[in-house]
Amino acid sequence: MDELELELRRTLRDPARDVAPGSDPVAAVHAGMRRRARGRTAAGVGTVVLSLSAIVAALLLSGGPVSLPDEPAITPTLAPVVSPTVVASSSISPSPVVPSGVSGDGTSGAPVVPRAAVPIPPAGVDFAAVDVAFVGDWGWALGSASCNGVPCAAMRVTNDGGATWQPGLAPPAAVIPEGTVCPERHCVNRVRFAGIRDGYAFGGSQFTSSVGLTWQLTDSPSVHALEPGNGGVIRVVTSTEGCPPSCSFVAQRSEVGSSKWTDLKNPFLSGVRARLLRQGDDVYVIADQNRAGGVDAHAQIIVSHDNGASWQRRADPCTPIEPGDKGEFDATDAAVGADGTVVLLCTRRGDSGFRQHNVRVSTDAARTFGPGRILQSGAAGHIGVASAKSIVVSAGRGSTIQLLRSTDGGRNFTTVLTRERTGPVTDRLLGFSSAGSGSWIDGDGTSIWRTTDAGKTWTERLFN
Amino acid sequence: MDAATSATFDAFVRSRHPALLRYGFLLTGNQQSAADLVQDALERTGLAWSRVLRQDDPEAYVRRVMANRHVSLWRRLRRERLVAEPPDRVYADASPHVEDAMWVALGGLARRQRAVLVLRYYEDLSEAEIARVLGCAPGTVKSQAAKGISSLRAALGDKETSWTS
Repeated sequence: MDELELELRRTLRDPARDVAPGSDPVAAVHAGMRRRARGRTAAGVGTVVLSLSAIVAALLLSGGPVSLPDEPAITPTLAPVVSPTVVASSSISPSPVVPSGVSGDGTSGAPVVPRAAVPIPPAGVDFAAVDVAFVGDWGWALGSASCNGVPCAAMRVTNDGGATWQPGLAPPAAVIPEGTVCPERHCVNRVRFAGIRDGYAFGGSQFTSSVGLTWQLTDSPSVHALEPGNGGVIRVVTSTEGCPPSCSFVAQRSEVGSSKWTDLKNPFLSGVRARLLRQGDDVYVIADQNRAGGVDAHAQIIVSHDNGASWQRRADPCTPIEPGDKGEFDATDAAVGADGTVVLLCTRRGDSGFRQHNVRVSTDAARTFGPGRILQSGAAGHIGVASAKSIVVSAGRGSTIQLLRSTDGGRNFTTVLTRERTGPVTDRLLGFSSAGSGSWIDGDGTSIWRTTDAGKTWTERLFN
Repeated sequence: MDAATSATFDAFVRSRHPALLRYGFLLTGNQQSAADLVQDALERTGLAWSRVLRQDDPEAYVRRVMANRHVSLWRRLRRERLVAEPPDRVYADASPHVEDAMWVALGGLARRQRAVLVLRYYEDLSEAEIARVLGCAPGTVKSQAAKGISSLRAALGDKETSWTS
């Protein structure tokens, strides 16, 4: 592109060429639509009348009997236009937001209201997030809220990297914490987006989003995990009777936005829940077992290094570190970083003591794990990894909760954030969407902490 | 359109109206024409909203309608107004926007040339995508773009012609 073309691009994208909108465009557009609808209907009637006249004239001229149809099928070309009535709860304050992502003008994101075919979901108050997904500066937080005093699913959306959040469109399902029995027909507790157009809400049922304007139920088995990446989407499903606790898991792959899923023929995998990690062609599925099952209840792990085409089993690397320790450790959380580093948070089974966790790190796509280090903390919640040089763990200590960060591959951790505990659980989510950008949602889910420097510093932003 | 579907359309209009106005302004070079173009495209989109929502990216659909209508309007004007000089140029914009040399030069282009350049350099569409939007051959897009760039160079005092695809 030469100088003139660059100048042309600059000129076209100059913010000075924004046009100030006039009065309410919706009313004007609806008025125009009604005019067009009347015009089309009138034109349709006129055409039929002319046709009937021609038939009559032809028959009269031919001298034959005149017989008209009993009821000429005059069908307006359009159904009557329904006046736009938003059946929204009075609890909606701001209008929900949907992404556009088409323009390239950098002005995407603005107020909007919801979806077709189902009652319009209210934005709700007292929003509490259970999961969040980021695609660049766009982010979607799925959570629960109170709609006129009744629990409801809710969504909050950001298009500025999490600095501000506005109500979005939630799938028509109950939002429940992971591991909770679904009290209604459809439940979700996770959200992912493959680009800003194709969204997935899942956790039992699965919903897909079209441009963020609608959420449609996908006819599928129970979806335990789903991750977009590498040009497609992989999910882990189960159709086992009596699941949980006895679930067998199948990994499936689909093109983004497609409803056709293909089994990936993974080795038999069973457990109470499944987690899915992806980075490039590497795919990890971890099936947690019922830990009441004793020494055999370690997580089952399968790994693919070719995007699900072939699989290998891996032993659970969570083992005691100190000599003579006979305890059992389980992988209670896992993450994969942008550089492929895999980290496991190993937790001593049934122990609430001070040294109950260790962190295992693999820099060779889970082929081998480092020796592990005891985490000097209270009860840890989650682990996240930006890269081998930045591993973050959330952990409670007394009435506080802390974020601990390691910059040396998990050997040493230092506290980067301490705050008062806000909920009954340590925290809800910790993760990185890139080598620099990460999110942490603490116990009550009313705010999100964001980092853009790989976990070195964190800033709190409120959802409500 | 039922109430819920209508609500999604209203939401779409409210959220994307400013961006569409800007796009219309780039296509037409005139605020009033931009508003008319957006209104026309949104009315057409609204009447097909259920289908658009099911099958397409709504905003991309509206932008395609706008580009097409903008060029079609030029075709219609050429048919209907038989004058010595066809109204090949957009009329001057009296709005208080930044008036730089490039913007003024853009105002001198034919509608289709301008639309091709806006789709190429603002929407970042490929030649094939532009051809689909405007309903013409990729070769036409290429030639219109080349003519448009050439005209801009001439207007800005640079005679060299090039087109980067």
